[in-house]
Amino acid sequence: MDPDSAKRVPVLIERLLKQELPAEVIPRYQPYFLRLLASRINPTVVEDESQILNSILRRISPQNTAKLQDLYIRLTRSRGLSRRWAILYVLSKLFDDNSVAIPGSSLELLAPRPPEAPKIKEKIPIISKKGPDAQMPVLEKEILRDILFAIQGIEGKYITFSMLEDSYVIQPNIGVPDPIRKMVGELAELGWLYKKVVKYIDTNIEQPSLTSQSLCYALQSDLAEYYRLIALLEQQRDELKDLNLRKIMLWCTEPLERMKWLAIISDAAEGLKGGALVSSLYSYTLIGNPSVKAIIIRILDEVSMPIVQMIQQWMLEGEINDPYHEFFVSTNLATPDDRLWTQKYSLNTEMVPSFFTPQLANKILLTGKSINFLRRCCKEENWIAASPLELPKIHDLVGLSKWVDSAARVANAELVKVLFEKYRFKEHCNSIRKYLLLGQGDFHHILMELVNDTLKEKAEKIYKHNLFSILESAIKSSNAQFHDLEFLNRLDVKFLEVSPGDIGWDVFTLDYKVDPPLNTIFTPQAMEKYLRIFKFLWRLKRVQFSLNSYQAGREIIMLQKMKEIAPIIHSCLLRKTEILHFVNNLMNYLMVEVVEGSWAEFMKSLDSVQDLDQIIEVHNAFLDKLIMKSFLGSETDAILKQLLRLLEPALRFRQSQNTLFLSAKEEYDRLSKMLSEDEGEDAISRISLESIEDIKQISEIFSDGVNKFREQLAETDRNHLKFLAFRLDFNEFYSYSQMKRADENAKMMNIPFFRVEDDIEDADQEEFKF
Amino acid sequence: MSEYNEAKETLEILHEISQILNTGLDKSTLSILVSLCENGVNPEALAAVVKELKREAAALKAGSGKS
Repeated sequence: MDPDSAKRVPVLIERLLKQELPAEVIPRYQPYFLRLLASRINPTVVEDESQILNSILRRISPQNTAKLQDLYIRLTRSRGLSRRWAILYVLSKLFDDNSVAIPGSSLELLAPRPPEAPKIKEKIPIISKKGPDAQMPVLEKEILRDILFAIQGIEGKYITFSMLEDSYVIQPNIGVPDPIRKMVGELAELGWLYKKVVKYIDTNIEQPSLTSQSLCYALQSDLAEYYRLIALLEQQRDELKDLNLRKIMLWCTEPLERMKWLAIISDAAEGLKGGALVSSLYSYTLIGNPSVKAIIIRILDEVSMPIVQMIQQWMLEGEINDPYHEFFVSTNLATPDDRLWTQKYSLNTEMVPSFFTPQLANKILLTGKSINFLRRCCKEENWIAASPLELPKIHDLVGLSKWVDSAARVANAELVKVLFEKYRFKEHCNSIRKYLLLGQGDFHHILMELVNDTLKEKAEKIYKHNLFSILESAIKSSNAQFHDLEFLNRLDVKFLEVSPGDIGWDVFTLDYKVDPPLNTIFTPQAMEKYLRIFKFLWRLKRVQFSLNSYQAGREIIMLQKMKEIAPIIHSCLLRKTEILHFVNNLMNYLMVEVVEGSWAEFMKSLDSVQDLDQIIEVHNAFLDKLIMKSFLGSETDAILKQLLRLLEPALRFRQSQNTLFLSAKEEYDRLSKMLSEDEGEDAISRISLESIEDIKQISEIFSDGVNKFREQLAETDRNHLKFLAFRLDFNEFYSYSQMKRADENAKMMNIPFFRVEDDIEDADQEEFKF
Repeated sequence: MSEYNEAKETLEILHEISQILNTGLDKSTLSILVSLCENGVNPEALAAVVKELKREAAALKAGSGKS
């Protein structure tokens, strides 16, 4: 306080008190009032005339209002005062003084709140009631300035960030009433959230991830709106002077809610990218609150934009532009084209949005694969996929799956068409059936005839080119010659691995070569299965062929003229027929029920396939069925072994039969030359006894084997095998002979029936050793 | 208009306002207050002082009335 005013204080005191007090008492008051005037309440008054005037106007009676306004206007015209607001303020404070009851003590002077404080709270000093250490009173104006900083995450003079409470708070030593503190605390949450969101944006905008970058941009566009709000609030404060805490509070309710969700989203997105990020955001769209849902869906759509574009590009063009590995289809660039379908592309399950069904994700993968397959393997570079529908946003799952469906249908239909028409898939299947599954009977018969002699040689002595020329001549002399060269040229001879002692029969197979792109369906594994089936069928065919090969009917009739030998020849022929019956039946089963039956099913299901995966699936099912039904599967291993055991004596039979017939013929020739009277007495001793023995043995082994085989068939739970068992024994020949033999044995040994079976089993085992 | 007249008129206006507000201040007290204000005294404190003085005066008056 300057000395000039100090001088005036005693005068003032005197004037106000002189009526009541003697002059000598007055100086006693002087220091007290001086101190009061110099006190630190100095900066707390708002220097705003209109505000003061308004507060006066509010309190005077209406008839005086006009007069007071008039006086005020006159006052503003006169230039006598430099601090007009000060005196006005003093006057306004002294108003209604008379009506106020006078409290007793002078110590009440510093009493915190004047009674009218709540009414004009905004513009009067806010004085702490927090005791001696909280003496710094703050104007609301400053708090307003600070709070506008705080909601932008900036510390102000009074509102600072407290690590302890993890929020923006008014410094504890500043005197503001608790309600204001609370209000500021609530508002300041906005700043805390804002800082969190900004931090996420700062750390992730440079991340190598398209999705988190687009999340950052989505968040930024939200923040831009928020900045607009702050600018608006600042404008209100500075220009219109019409702002208070409550107003800010009201304005900020909705942004606070939104900021809360932005912060939640940025929390949820932390460390994620690509499909995983989209999945994590999608879970928030399930919220019930429509306004929140709208915010999140908008952000989700923005975030998933790169993914959706990738889906579109992948499904229409087959290309992946995914520099940061965020797409759920990943490419293995090292894979060669011939394994493109199975190995090049795969689903990255981590990146599949969780709300995509596995079918949807697979369909997306499949479609892109189809397009790539068309382009690269089928040489259809000019084909362009197009979808009539517009690509929907990702939250519209129904629309998205519709779009995916339509795009998938186009690409897959095209692929199936190309495979069927350009690459003639069905025709290839058919020629494989003809050549590898013995469908072309005449061809195989001729081949068998031609190749028979060569294959008896040792495997290492057989040359492939010889066999190949035999194959050619077999083609030329059968109906196969009319088949398209496109398919015939693929037919080839193949040797399996030769082990010592193998003869040609053991290692020979036919082979069918398939070129890309069909080798995606006819994989090496599938071809290997075909060859296994071929080998098995070929073996049976050989047995059948060899048993049928001795067809010299006249010769047999001739031999049967020798009375002694005739029964032997007869029984030999009977046994041959028995074996042949079995082999023929088995062959019929395999050709008619197994191959042709499965083939018909296969062709039928091929008509309804929609994509390459289904073709592969149907084809594999066809192959597996063949393998399973023709005893080559692992379950029927024992049956197969038994069957092969049967075939071996069947093959040997022919040799013995030949020897027998040969010796019989020699005998016949001798007899017809001799014309002697003692004909035939020792004819039996002259023919090959060894071979008779052999034939007997073989036929016993065989019929035992067949019985065992039948038992095995009957034991399985597979219908087709039970039917086969029935078919083999349709006139109960085997079961009858089995019974008869058991009877005979029982009689012969004169022991109870049940013992016999044991003996038969023993005998069986011995025979196997043999 | 001279400076003096101007000041006088201003004081008149303020006095009228003070009368409307029923502050009970006479012209000379008011002029002291105005000059204090013009000298930069904090109006808040000043108002408090005036109120206190008035209250003091009233108390003294009551005290002397009783005695």
